[in-house]
Amino acid sequence: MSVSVSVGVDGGAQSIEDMVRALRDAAHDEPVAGQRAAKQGHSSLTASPVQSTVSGNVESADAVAALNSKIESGKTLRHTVAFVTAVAIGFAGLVYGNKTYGPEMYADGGLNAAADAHAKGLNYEVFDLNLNVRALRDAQLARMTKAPEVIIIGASHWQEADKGLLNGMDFYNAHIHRDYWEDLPGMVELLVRHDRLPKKLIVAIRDLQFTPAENRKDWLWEPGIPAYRAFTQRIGIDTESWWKTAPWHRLQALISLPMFFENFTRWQQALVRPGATSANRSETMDMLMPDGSILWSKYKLDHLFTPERRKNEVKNFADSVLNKPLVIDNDGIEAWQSTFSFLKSKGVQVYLVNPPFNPEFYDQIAGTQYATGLAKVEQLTQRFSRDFGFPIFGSFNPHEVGCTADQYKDAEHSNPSCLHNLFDQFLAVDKQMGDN
Amino acid sequence: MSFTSLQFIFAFLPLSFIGFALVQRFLGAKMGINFLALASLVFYGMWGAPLLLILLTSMAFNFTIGNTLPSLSADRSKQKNLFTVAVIVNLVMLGYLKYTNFFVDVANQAGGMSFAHFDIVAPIGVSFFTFVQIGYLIDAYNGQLVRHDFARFIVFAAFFPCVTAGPLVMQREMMEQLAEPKQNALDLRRIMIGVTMFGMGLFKKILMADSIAPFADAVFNGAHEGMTYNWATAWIGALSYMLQLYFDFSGYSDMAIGIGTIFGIKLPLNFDSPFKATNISDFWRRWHMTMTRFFTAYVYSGLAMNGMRKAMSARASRFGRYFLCAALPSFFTFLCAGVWHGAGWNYIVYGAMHGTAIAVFLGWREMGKFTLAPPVAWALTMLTVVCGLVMFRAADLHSAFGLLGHMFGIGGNAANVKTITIDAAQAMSLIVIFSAVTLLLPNTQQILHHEWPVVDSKPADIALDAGLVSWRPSFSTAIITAFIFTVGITSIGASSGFVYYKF
Repeated sequence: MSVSVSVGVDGGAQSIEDMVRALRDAAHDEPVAGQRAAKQGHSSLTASPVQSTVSGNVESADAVAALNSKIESGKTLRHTVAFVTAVAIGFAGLVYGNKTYGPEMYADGGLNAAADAHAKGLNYEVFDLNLNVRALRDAQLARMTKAPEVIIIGASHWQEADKGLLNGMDFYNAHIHRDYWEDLPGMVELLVRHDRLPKKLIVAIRDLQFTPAENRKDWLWEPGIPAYRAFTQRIGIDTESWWKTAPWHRLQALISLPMFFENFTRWQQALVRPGATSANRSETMDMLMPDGSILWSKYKLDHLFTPERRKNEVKNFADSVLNKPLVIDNDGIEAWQSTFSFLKSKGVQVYLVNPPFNPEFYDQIAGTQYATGLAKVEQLTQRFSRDFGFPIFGSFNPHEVGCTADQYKDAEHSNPSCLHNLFDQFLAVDKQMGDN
Repeated sequence: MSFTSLQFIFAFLPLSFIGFALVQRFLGAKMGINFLALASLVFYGMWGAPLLLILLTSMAFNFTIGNTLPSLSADRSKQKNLFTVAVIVNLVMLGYLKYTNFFVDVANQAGGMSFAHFDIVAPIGVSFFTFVQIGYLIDAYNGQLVRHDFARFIVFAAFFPCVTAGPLVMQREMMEQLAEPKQNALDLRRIMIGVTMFGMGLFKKILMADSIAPFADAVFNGAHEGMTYNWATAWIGALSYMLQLYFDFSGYSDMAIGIGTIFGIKLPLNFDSPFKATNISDFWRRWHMTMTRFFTAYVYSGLAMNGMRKAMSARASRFGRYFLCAALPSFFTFLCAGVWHGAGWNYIVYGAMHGTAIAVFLGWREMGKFTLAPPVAWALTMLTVVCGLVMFRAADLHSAFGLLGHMFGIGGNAANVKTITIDAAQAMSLIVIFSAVTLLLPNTQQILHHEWPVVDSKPADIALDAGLVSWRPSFSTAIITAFIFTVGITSIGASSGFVYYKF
């Protein structure tokens, strides 16, 4: 409502009309305030019969202006409350929807169900591997009855490494997708918290391991930050700032409308939904195994992971990284040094490994900035080895490990036959350590 | 930190506003301005400490010079010398940060050299904050400065909603607002208007610009890589980019103005339904309005005055007067505007294209025998705009001319190379829908015309333009605004960042 009140000899009649209209509107909108204002208006006009019409108008105009202001404030307040409520309902609805239809990524319930199945020796089917794997590791470790003999902490390079590759050793594959340097302290925190520190811990160091938080293009590391923080407090070292490591992208995914549509559509259309199973392979679902490894669906193995796709993936990946330097975060190096000291003090034998790339990719990037970056990461691995006396196996160079292009699904993810070569190296190193 | 990041929306913006409101409430308006200056520096510092240092150095330099110039008014030549040196220093800094590697490329191509590129990172928004400060120096030189201190100068030159990509503010319009802030920081209505503008801008950027961008990217990148395509694909790419840029930049501008409104600072309009323009001059009054205003005030006016003096002294003919007073100043002004956008031949040609178009339009208006029918004039204007934007977006002149050639059926394709593949039906649907939005619906300021949250004067007929769509606080408006705001925020994905951040 907008009322123009003109005060003066010429505008007197118009002012009174406006005031009457305003008072009527006000009474309609806000009965109590309106009546009060009407009363005030009346008294200002009648209490002093000797007052001029002009001064009466002025007082009434002030009252109307105050009233108008109050009415407008009331409308704005109601508008604001409605706006904030609607936005809050929108956000809450999306959070609920994403947790319901994407439980393995967003809700603890889905991961607890998977860990419960694993504790019973069952496998767990999921639509794909877009899940909060860090929380899954936490849930799995919490349900273990004893510490495994060997644990590997690394990225998705190790996802297909099952216990069969280790000659019957009690092995747990604690790989986590797209791990960065905060993930090692974070995983060690989980192992300590659940009293599951192993005798032998394989720590994989990948190309992007020490990328600073601000340079990262993905966000799956964000859910691992609380464990990382807890570990830094446990051993009393500096922690990355809250601003740098806050889970913004995870929050973004949690309230994501496109993600909700995707999750909802998939959930509704699925013939099989995530759940425990005793089957060893699924037609359409990927499988999370009790030893921490994964099994691809038959569909993906037969139709998705083709040689053509592999070549495209290699080319696209190579094109995207060729001229990019690998940045190493010194905070990460310091945090790992402290973590290694801690592990050593607890009697854990650490083994270091660099996972091999697809030879098609590795040969393509020879002489580029990226290759220089890889050499730096290998040098860093050697430095850790020297400083802490940890043995090394594996290499970014696939030719040194004996892996061939046909053993890969893309530029970096190999199948168990290549991983077998790596674990043979581990077993040899381990034997040597035992002999010594 | 982009306006489209959750860090900004859920942390920086609310925290800085709460801090500002508290400081203003309990420590006074002056401290409120100081807080805003600090928040702006923190915001810019998040792009990197070295970049903040460049901004601070630039501001300290210009503030010092700007406050020295009025005191030299008794010695006009000394004042002029200092002013000239200061402007040159700004331009040299801008040139070094933005154009050094372009000149290296030119030298390499022209002289067959092989100089390596310098490792220079141009600070985000360097063109914007440098030109805003040059405007400040000009005002200082002309004795038009409004009294201010360094905190107010920081808010003027680096206010966080506009430091990265404008709107290009003028000293007077900012300093007058900052001189004696009377706004109550917690004026709920003003905050809701700002939030509404911010939400509308976010919606434009995320739902519109980012959804049509992949088509433009596919065509322009494909053309750059030498892929084959036909005339229809070329047109889809060009039109997609035209709409992407509009929704991207006008979305950004709405967000910036909305943030300014939340803090009680009115910023100038940057867009006014440019695709409704029926001549190229009208287009530039509606597109990137603050840039047009800047170049008109500080480049065109001077050149036109100079041309007029020459024309009068030479007793020039009608054509001569037109050439010296209008055509030449327009051409040079737009050439400068093109160069201002970035280092590359395509920006120079883009500026020259628009300078020529304006010169032709002014000549036609001055000497033409008839006026074109509005639909024809509109079509001709849009054709000029879309051709200009092909030049603006293309990675190099070769692919720009290739695309323009294909658009008019004179392009050839190399044999045995990949073809650009896009979903033409989907692209066309978006082009039609988004064009209809730009041509048929009222724009942001028209929707908010009752409140008029910008520094510009309000057009008399704006209510008519707005039609039935106008913002008033009510339950239905709140729900619609909340829908736009929520959909905007919850659709933020791998956003490409604002196009104008690179300028």
